[in-house]
Amino acid sequence: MPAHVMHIDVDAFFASVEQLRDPRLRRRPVAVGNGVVASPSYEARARGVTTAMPLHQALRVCPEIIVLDGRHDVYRCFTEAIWEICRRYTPELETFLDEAFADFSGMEHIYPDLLELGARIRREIRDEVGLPVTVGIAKNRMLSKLAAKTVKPDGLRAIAAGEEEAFLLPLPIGKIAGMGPKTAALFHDMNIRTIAEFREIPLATLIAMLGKVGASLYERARGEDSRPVQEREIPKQISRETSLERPTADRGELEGVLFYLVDRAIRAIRKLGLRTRSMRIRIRYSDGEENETSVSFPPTAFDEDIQPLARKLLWKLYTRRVTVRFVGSGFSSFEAGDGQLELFTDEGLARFHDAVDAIRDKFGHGAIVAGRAIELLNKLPHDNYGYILRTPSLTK
Amino acid sequence: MAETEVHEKLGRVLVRYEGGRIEPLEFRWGTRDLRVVSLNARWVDRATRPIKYFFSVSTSAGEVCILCHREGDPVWYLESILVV
Repeated sequence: MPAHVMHIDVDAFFASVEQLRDPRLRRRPVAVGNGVVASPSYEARARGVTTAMPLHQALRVCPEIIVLDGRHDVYRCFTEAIWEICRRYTPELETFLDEAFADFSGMEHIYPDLLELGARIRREIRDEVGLPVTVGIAKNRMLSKLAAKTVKPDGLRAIAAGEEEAFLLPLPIGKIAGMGPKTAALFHDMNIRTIAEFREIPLATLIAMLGKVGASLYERARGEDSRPVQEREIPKQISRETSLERPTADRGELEGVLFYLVDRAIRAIRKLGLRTRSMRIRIRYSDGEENETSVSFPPTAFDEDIQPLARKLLWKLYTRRVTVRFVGSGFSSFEAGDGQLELFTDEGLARFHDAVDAIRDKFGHGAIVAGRAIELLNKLPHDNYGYILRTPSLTK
Repeated sequence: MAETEVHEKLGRVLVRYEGGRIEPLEFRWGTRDLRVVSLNARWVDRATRPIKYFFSVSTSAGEVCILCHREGDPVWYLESILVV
């Protein structure tokens, strides 16, 4: 099958937008994040700063780094402008925060040379929006994304039909989608370092070693990916908010409410197969004053990653000796949830959350109430679904 | 670096319309007349009503300012200043 799937990826998206907005940041190490690095510029990466690195560690590694909180309302505008340019060439575009897939199958008579089209798209985005993007072209989503990864930043690469094996076999196993560093280390210990060597392992052995993950890695190592490219509705924001029947200053109760709201929102995010990179927390005092703050973080769909940040934001916001009557959490900056899956950490968490979500799908969200939200059992009204929120759930 | 919110109306703005695009050239903020040395970036927020057009400009005074023009509104705003 000829190469017909195009992957378009904005390089170091948040950091690139900040460097575009302020020319004094160009060619300097920049990181967008709060607590952890959500998006390092390529200058910061060259100095050893990586995504998800704690900021205090980033400052040790690169003392001259400039750290920014991030403006997600601005980033959204840039991403919309980029996808509008891509839509000039194909109506079927599956978009996420900073990457998109386009399927050009059946359009060979209109675009006989996808490499030339990819170059044109990159040029138009650079000229009209000002941001660098990398484009990969191959026969399916996984290979097109992998092709782009090998030439980032600001690159263009196509894997022609018949060249997939020559492309894949020499690559290190860490490049296989779904192979995280810890899982790769397991195979490095067995002296298996390239995809060619990895493919010597029989499917039954991989399943015995890794379960479901093993079967996925087996297919991906062979360049197989049957997932279609399809336009889908990615919400701009998912929020869960509630006003409280009785305003409170009880820290335990406020944390419990917040964690419950975060829990509900993150579950909705997981259900859509997404991960989030941005959270906003809002409170309203009894006298009507409102406070709101937000944070960026590496992409996640796990409560365990979000709750400590939510707690920190809540106590940053709640600074007055006045009771609170409204608490809200909102998430945005979504991306596809099919990134790396660590065998020993994320795989366990993913299975745990799959099980919890399945129980909640059957018996209602309130069937499992975790952590601080347990404190609300005698304080908030609840029904078969869970605690009754006085504000409708919002996904927009 | 920080972004200092300003949200003030600008008394006077000189713009160029060319090739279907708007480019601010000079503006007056309070008593200061500032010339735009470079247009760093532009973006559009279509989630708001009215639609807002933003421009990051470097000025003759060495500042980086975010200007905003709202669709249908002849007034321009200095939204914020980027401080390094």
